[in-house]
Amino acid sequence: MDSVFKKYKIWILLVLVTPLLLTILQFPKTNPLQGVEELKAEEKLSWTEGTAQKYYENLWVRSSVVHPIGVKLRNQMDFSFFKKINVHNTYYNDGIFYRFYNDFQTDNTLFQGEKVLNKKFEQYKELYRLLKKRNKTLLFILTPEKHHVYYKQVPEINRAKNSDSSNYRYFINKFTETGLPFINFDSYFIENNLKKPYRLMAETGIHWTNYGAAVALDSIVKYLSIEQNTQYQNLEYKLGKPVKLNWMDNDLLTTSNFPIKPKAGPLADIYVTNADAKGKKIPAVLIGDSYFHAILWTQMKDAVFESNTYFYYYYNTEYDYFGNAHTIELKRLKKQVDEAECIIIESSPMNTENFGFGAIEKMLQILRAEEK
Amino acid sequence: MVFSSGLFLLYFLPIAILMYQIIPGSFKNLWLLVLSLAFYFWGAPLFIYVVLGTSLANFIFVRQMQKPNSNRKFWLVAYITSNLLLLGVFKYFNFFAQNFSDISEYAGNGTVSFFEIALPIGISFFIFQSITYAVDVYRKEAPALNKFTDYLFYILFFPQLIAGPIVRYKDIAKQIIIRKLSNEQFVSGFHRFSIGLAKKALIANTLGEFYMKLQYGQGILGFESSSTAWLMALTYTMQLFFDFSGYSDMAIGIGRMVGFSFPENFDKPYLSKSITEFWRRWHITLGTFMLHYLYIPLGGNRKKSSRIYVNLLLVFFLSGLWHGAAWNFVIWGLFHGFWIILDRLFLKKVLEKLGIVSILFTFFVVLNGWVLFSANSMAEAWHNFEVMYAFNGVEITYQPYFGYFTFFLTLSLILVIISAIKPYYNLRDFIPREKAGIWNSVTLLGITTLLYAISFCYVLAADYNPFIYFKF
Repeated sequence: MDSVFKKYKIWILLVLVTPLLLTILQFPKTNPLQGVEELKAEEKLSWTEGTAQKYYENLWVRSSVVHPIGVKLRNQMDFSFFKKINVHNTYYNDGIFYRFYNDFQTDNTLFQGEKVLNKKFEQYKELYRLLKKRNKTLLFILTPEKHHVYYKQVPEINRAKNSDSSNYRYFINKFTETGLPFINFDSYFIENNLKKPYRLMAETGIHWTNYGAAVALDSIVKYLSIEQNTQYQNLEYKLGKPVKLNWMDNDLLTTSNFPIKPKAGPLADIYVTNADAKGKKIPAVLIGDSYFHAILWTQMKDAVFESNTYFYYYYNTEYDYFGNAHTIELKRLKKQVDEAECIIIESSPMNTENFGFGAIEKMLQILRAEEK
Repeated sequence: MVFSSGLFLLYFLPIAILMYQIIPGSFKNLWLLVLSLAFYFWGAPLFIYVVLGTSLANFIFVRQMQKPNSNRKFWLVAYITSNLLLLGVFKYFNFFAQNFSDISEYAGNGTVSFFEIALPIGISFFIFQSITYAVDVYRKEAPALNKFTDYLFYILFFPQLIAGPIVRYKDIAKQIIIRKLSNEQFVSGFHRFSIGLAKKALIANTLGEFYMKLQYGQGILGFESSSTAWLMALTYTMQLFFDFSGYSDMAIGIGRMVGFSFPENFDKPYLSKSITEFWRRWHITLGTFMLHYLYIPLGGNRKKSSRIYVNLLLVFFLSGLWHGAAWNFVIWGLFHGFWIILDRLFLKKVLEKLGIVSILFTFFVVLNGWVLFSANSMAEAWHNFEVMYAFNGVEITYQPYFGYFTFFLTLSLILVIISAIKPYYNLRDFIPREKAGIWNSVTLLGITTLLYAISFCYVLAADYNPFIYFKF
């Protein structure tokens, strides 16, 4: 029996030491984890307060080749056995990845009330009028919401109660009533997502896919061409099977870091064919949230927008055409609005709580001053 | 650094065990001592000097005690007093100072500000362990150690330094000097370690996460649910057991891998039929310490009943205080003391006749005790009891992944129940069929490897919870 235990002991020593050996040898080469923030040291690391220990512990463990293997295996086990997703605020149900706060909260409980929303809408109308005076179009686009497009798979407990008491329904009604320039991609995607050859919004992502963004952008360009009475260059692209998807196409799945990915609907890569074409492009100011990233960090931007197009992300950040971030300055915004032909405000239904992201007020401030 | 951390599993343990196999016998203890110093230094670089200084003083005290014609009792008293004083200052100064300040404020004299003293990790354990050394040597139950490094090794040995088991010196004295390590012992040690790691990394941590989510959910809608409060109490009860017993398993396992036999610390405590029995099964080494170093010296069962009850209350008062410098721990200790006295008066005889009902009743009492133990203050504990016993019929606050967490809660309950049967012990102690066990030895090794590998993945991934839009 002792010889048997001796063999077992050797096995155990191998089990214990192998991860360390692999770490030293930096073998096998593994792909890094997706969506994980790089480890940053605090400014002052202290051994007596424990911050140094914590930092080095994390560093030595994360720099090991077995770390991504362990994380991926853990994520896979949790998903395969329990359908648990180890991404902040994310869950899975019936083939769909959702974010927790996409549901009943956003549709009903964040309703700001008619008084607040009326004020916002009045400001928007005034901005529209002032921009129209200057031959500029103000367009509002409502991007699709995950739990609207995949409504059937939302667990019962998370289902929105159908009610008009929601911010986004308020804006849909108002835009429809007043006829102000508005495109409702939410309802379009609900209707067409499963009919298209590729997903407009992936089961495994939070935003529209690249294909969805391309379809939307195509509509936007055509709409603005009519509004501005100008023939802007349309987006031209080819669809192909994905070689390397833009990570936003299925960002939740990517961040989940599974070795074995669950089945989902077909996704397509977008190959823009007229990025370098010299047609008339749109000089614009874009205000919105992360949905615009699918356009702005791809060649779709080059095909459609002029190089003096600027993107305002939420309340605090402005990106120029080349992706450089700046803090928002009124002086710069004024120049950008002066040069722009179109101002596009984008919001998902959830984000209609932040309608305009503070930019409407800033632009009004600028334009009212000019009127005086 | 804790056993269930990436640093320990990836670097510390493999290097420790591998080098232990290679280093010649006379240097093995030195190697373990170096590891233990590094282990403690990593966690508490400032306090290593307190531990070293205390240990040197203790060692000298006992050397003095061993000298011919020495006043042995004097040195013992000096030893115990100085150690308890150290524990008192580091662990309880803040507690008593805060209470003094509260009383002063209540009396209208305003608060009293004081300098807060930080608590060295593991102080409760290594002070108690130090005391067993002096007392066992004094009682001549074990010889004193000749080398300071051996004494330091006994005090600081890393598997049981931070959270026990509290190893009495006499139980380990011979093993410090000479011990044999068989292959079977090594294998069963690693097996035990893997089981402990799985208990901690897979079950206890998950239940801990569930408890935090339930706690967050309580009151989030403006009212608290009795059902949720009971679920929290049950979750904490199971989490604490798997966490603590898991850690003990890991300590016992590592000890075994280097030739030591540490005493068991848990023996199916939640299947106890009375609180008296519970304290023979829960944190056994603490109970043993209190019995042999406090209760028996106070007179034990030889005194008249009223004195026994006072002694029992004192023992449990001090047990509670030992667990933490806060009133809820003291009340928890007295809570158990109260039930022990009831057992002596009549309850134990009644419960002996009730079979499974006695197990359920005892579990219920223990669970209520943990409500006291888990609170941050007496006010919070009282509030938790109020919510629990309101039976307000409010639904459990919805939790994401409720099924996932209740699976692990159910699993923990099942494991507690099946721990009474032989296959469980054969599994825990790696008793193969060849040794009258139930499991084939290859199966046992397979289970060991699988548990270790899965737990290893979960430990590595413990800090992984990316926020999808950190970039944005």
